[in-house]
Amino acid sequence: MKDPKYNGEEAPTHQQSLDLINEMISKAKKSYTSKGIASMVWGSLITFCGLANWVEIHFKKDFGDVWLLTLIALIPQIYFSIKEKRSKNFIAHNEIATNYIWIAFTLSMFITSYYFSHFNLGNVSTLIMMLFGISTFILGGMNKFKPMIVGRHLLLGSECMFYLYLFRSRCITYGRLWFICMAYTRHYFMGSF
Amino acid sequence: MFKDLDPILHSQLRLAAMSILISVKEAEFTFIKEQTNATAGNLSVQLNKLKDAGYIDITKQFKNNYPLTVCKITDRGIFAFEEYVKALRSYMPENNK
Repeated sequence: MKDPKYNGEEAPTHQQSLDLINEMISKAKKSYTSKGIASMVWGSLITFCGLANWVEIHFKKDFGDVWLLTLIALIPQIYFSIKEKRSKNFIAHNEIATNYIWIAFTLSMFITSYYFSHFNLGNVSTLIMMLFGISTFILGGMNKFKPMIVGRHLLLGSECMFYLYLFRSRCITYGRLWFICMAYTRHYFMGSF
Repeated sequence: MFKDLDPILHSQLRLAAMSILISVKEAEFTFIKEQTNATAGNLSVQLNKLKDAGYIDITKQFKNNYPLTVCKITDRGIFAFEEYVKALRSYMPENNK
């Protein structure tokens, strides 16, 4: 027996029972919360791409399509996701719904990008940011996490500002907001809020 | 007014297992064992008692040719757990003033 507290069948006191329930729920919660490394990597990458894009536009440089870096970043993301899935020995309550939301977001992002590109409708990044805002809003509501809901409002507010006033600096706004939302997510999953 | 405590849940390891199972959708035997630090034998006996009471479902399957035991709390288990916590609270001094 590794833990002597489970020796025998003696009944715990009421306080011990409550403490045990709290301890076990906290331990289980700690197991299914992510460290948020992937979110931070994505947030940083998107910020970098946004900045590079901004430099391209304002200083007339040409780095090629910097947004292709996001596709390269998918490789380690997929690798670590598969690795994590293999070693995981439980399913959290909101896991399935969360996965479906991100799948829906990814599919919508690709379909919208294809549509805009096929019919030459201009830059699609603003619409993608809006889709991201919707996903963030749903996840924030599901997890009763106010900063994520606020983040969504920030995204949509920035969208309006982008259209009205900041058309030329859209890339940096986009990157910064991605970073903010990822940072919120990271803090939430690490239990810092 | 003190409420009776459910004797099935009023045992440390069974209560620990139920607290874990109420926190997740489902969990493998190894996950519960890791979290509770109990021995496999003891945990197995206590989980079977919970299963006999109808508080959890236990499914045996295979994963990469290895046996896998998956546990999931039932609606009856959730109700019993909630009632148990309510009963415990009634014993706390601040609720009896």
